[in-house]
Amino acid sequence: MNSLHRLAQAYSTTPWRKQISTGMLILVLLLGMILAASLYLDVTARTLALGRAIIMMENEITEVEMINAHLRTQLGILTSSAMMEKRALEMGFRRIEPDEEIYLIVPGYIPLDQSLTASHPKKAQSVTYSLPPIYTQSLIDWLREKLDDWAFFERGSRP
Amino acid sequence: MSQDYSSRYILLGTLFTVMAALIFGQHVSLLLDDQRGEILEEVRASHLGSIWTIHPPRGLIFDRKGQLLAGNEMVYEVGVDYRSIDKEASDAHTIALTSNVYFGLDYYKVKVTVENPPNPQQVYFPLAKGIEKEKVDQLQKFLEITEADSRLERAEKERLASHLRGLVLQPYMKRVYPEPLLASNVLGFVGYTQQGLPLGYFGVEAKYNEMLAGTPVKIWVPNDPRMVQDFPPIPEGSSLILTIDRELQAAVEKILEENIQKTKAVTGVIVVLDPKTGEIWAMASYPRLDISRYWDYEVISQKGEFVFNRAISAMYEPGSVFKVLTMASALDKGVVTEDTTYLDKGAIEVGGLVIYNWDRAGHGKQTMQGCMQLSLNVCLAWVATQLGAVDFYNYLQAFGIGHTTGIDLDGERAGILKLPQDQNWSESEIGTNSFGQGVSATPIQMAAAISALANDGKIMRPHIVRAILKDGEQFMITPSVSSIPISAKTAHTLTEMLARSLEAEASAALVEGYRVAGKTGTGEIAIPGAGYTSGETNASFAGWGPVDDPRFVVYIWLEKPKTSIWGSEVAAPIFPKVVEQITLLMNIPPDRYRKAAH
Repeated sequence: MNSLHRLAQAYSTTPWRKQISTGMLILVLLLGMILAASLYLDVTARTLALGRAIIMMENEITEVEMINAHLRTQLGILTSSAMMEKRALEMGFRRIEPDEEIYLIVPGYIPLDQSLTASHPKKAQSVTYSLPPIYTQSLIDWLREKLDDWAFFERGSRP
Repeated sequence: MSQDYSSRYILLGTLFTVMAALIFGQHVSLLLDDQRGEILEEVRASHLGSIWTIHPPRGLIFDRKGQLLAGNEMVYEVGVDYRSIDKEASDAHTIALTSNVYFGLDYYKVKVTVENPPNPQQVYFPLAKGIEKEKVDQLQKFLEITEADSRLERAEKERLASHLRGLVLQPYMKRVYPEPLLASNVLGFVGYTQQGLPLGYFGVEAKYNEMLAGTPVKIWVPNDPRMVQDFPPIPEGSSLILTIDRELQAAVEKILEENIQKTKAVTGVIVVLDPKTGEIWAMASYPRLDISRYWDYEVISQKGEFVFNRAISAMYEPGSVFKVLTMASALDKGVVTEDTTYLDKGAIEVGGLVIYNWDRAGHGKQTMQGCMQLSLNVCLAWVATQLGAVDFYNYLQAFGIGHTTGIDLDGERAGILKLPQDQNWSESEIGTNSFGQGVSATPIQMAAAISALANDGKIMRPHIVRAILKDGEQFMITPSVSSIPISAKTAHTLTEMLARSLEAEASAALVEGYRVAGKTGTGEIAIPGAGYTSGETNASFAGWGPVDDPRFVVYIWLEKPKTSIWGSEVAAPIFPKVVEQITLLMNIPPDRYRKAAH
């Protein structure tokens, strides 16, 4: 009995070893938590930065569209009837008199319809614009989605 | 122990039960009270984000060849954000000076406004609207140069930036017209409601306001950037392609203004339309408004009887051009033929009223063509009596007299046509109405009515929009028949009669190279209570051509011309000038080329 007790004592860990082991375990857990937290912070920070970038880009798109509309109108002003006439006169052109018109008969000629500025209506195509989820979801969202996918797969719903 | 604490347990239990009951009650009350629930939902949502209402850019307006008539321009609202103003620093001075130098605003007004918010809670105040993009670009360029200038200290740059932090430049779109006088009566203008929202007034801008403005989109913008979503595409307002030809419109407006000055008329209208489709190619109205200064409308309209678009809103007694409708009705009904003769004695009594010719003379035996050529009131009054009141007014209504034409412009008026069933109608009206007295119509009504003669008896609904552009696709407007008052045979017969009339009298309305038909009109202007004693007239001319295949109808009206009161002397000579431009710009070759091509 005594020898059995001695054997057990010999193989048992010394108290200082136990303390070190517990301390290391806590440290490992802490390190793991710090790693996970910093990873989460990094991803969240990047998501936030991307979110802000998206808002700024949306504003930029709006401004560019406004500038495009502005330039289009400027073009309209530069090619207005009065401006074109003024430019033509400056270049030495003059208005044609009715008796100066020369007509040629071109068999089969069909004049173009000049008012067609866009395509004719066709069957409406559904176009959806959306950002891929990678730009908007957090790490937790991503993990949840993957877990859901996994659970779905495990249940055998997928072929 | 259990004795000591049992009362406390009971009290605690009761408390929890009451709390649970209260929570449950609150849930039920919120479920039942929609309004309160919505308010709380709004409060909750406001903490999560905000809802932006985005107004899409207003649709553009083009002429029939795709030239821009109305567009949008980027301008800025300049304002001050009081939260960013440091009263101790010289922010007010810097903002006032910048606003004065770059935007031309009053230095002292701006400084006072920046230093003294209208009320302590106010965080923003607009200083000016409609600041041109070029001016803002100049300021931004200056700030960029300052930022890049290596001679300046960092602190100095930051100080300038901090002084201007309270200056807010907010871009927005403003309606702009490349040529603000061109077709202004057709386009209308865009003003702003009390809420600051754009709204179309008059013309196409008003008639198609909702279509041009598009549908505002509400977007929820979260405060948390992680929840940000991309904005949905915001479709622009639909754009319009008009039937108006910009070059022809400019030419017709020029001709009208020249002739207003020449004849010293008070106002005038010229309408050019395609009788086969009802498309309006040009619609000139004098006087007209500079729509880039639309706020002048109130001032102008208060001064006198300013009508925004006289072609659709001004009613007048058309005079002898109306005889075309009377004769067309009688020919169509068969009560007279081209060869029917009438012995003109210079006067006729209809319903107790004696009607005379314009020259108070009798012209003897006349065919129907002679009656039209000499514009005999007596003969036409006789023709109307032969037709009878019921048929006469049925025909006039079929021609669209007394009704709006349905043109897609805001502000059209119906004119006045008294009918036999009306209390104020008397039998003598048949006589006077037959030559365009006692009846009032708008120029567009007359043009549309007369277009029946140029289109095999059919009146096409006059319209100003040719196509609608939406989401990159073009939807063409299909022309539609408004009414068929007369047969094709009647239309051809009367057209031929009127063409021969113009040729016989060597009218000033004849056009070199093109055979045309037409009728002059001189309507006396009545003074209320005194009758037709003013000595002033409305001079008109309605013409169409080419006779064998009409492509255009031109309606001309000059109000109170001074150089001559007669339509044949002031209105008819305008017709060939307009036709010259139509044929040139709308590619209508002279008759000999056209016939040779066929």
